[in-house]
Amino acid sequence: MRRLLIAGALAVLMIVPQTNALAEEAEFTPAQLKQIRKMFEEWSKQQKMDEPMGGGMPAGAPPAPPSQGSEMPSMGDTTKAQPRYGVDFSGGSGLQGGRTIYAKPFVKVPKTIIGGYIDFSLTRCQGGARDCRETLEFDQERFVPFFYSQVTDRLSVAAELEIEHGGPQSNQSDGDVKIEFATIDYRFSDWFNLRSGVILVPMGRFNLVHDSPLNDLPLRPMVSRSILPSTFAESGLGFFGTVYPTQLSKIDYEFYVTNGFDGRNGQLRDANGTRGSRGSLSRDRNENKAIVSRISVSPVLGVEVAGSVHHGQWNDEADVYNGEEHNLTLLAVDGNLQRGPFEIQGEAAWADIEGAGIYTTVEGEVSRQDADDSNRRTVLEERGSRYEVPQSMFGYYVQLNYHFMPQAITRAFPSYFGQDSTFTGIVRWGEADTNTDSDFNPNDEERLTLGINFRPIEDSVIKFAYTFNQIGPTLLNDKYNPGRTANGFQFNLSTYF
Amino acid sequence: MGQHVVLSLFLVVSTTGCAVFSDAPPLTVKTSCSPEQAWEAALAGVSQLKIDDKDKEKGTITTEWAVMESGQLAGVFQRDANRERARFFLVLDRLRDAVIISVRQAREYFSPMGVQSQSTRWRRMSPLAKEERRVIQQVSNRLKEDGCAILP
Repeated sequence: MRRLLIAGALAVLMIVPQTNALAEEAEFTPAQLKQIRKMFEEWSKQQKMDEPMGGGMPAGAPPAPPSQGSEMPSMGDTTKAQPRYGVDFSGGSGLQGGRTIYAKPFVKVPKTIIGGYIDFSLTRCQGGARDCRETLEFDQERFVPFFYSQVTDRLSVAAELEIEHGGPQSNQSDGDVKIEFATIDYRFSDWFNLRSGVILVPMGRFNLVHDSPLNDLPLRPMVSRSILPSTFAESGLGFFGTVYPTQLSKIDYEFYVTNGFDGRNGQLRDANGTRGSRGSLSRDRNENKAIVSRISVSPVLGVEVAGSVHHGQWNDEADVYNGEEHNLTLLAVDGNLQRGPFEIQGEAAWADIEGAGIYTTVEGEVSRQDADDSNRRTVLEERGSRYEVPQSMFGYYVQLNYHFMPQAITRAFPSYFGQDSTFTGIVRWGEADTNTDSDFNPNDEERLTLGINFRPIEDSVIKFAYTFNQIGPTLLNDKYNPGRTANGFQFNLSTYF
Repeated sequence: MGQHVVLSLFLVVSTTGCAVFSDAPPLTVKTSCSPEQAWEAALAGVSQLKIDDKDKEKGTITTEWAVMESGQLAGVFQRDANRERARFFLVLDRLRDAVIISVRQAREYFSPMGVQSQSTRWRRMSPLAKEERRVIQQVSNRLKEDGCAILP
């Protein structure tokens, strides 16, 4: 009897862990179990392949041609990648991240990625420019957490929350917290998808790639601050997609309807460019929706040209009742060419504004955003002040990049310079004129920037640049309206994390 | 003045860009076998991928996009968040006494990191020659199995 009890207890002890294991296994769906088996088989196969060949292969020898009966193309076998398991080879246009159970999401919430970027700068421009002050100063410019969630194979959510200069509760309350974009995408096919939310306005190329770690210079192009006010986001709804006319070509399009600009009470003026008149994300004050669209054509790999337009009313309802509906139309063209280590990119933008003239601000409490892009806030306008709404604005930039990585440095300091490390030399020339009809506009800017940066990996960058700035009238040697220079340097560290 | 310079530069770059920046020629294999055998071999070359479109008369095969993890890891934490997708185009050219099968890959990249998840999402990148070579090799293997000669 006692023997039976002991045997029974042993049997229970042996079975219970198995039962737990089965219970754990039962948490996987059949598809997941199949995936796990497939992963294990691939892993076993890889282990065998990784075993050193007899005699070894001399370093630098060309790879042997595949033998007859070699395996089918192992998609995703990129040159940089180690084999990754849990890769799903399904067709279709959906992002498969949600399906790959071992896709290592950033946090333990399946299908959701949480990351961000940070950038920090040190700048000084003698005389001071809009985006580079006169004093030598450290600036915790941006801390931007972002979220990406693949809710289903077709539905995704993405957002960036920007905390600038330490946020509004920082020591001097001179920071900012705002949504950069927050969109819900529903994908039907490559050529037609819906998007709604706070949309990154597709005006020009820079606004769509404005994250600091993606850019090679510390300061943004002036045209992308004054004329196309990056970061430019609006509440709206629309669709986007891609068509492939030929094997080598690609056409991307985006079309959205948004709340549009709000240029009332001095927000749209030559001193601000269009920057101060970016509209509310919650209200359409003039009940007139704006339309925005961008079409980008890439005839072959390495070449992309695009055109974009934004059209809508900028003044308020009261003016409409008076029969004065004034529209603001932005037009932009941009291009990007890449060939080997060279890259040339540029962007040009025009603003055509109806209702140009001299205005006076309304007294009382008004919403105000400073020209240097500090906080939008409500201020008391004790008496009206005069300002000018220009008829047109224009700006552009052209930038040449050269990517290089001396092999001698890589060999000498392998722990600092990996295979993804690269240096980039940059030259950028740009102009922004917020009132093209005036030769005396003190807000004209011309800037030559020389820069160099180092990327230890693609997503992290250390930048240094020197800018030569000319601000104010440049065409006339007018002693009453002299231009001024504001040369200086910028240092910036930024990285995705 | 500045506007005219910019417009001129844009027009010059956009029109000459295509001429200067042409893609590399596709990988090819030339065989003496019949068009029927070449067609079957071409299909065999991409048999493990879903076919999006095929036209035997025109001699074209296009596979669907296959999505995979990217070799480019994301952020300083080097996470597996980025994706790539690729598809193949196979074209059969019938000559008088031979058939040329050409293979070209289109490849795109997606990153959920910040603004890269926006716009139209997928961005073009260079095809992987290694994968194109493997498809060509698979087609060649099938041709040899069928007793076809591979011509130089």
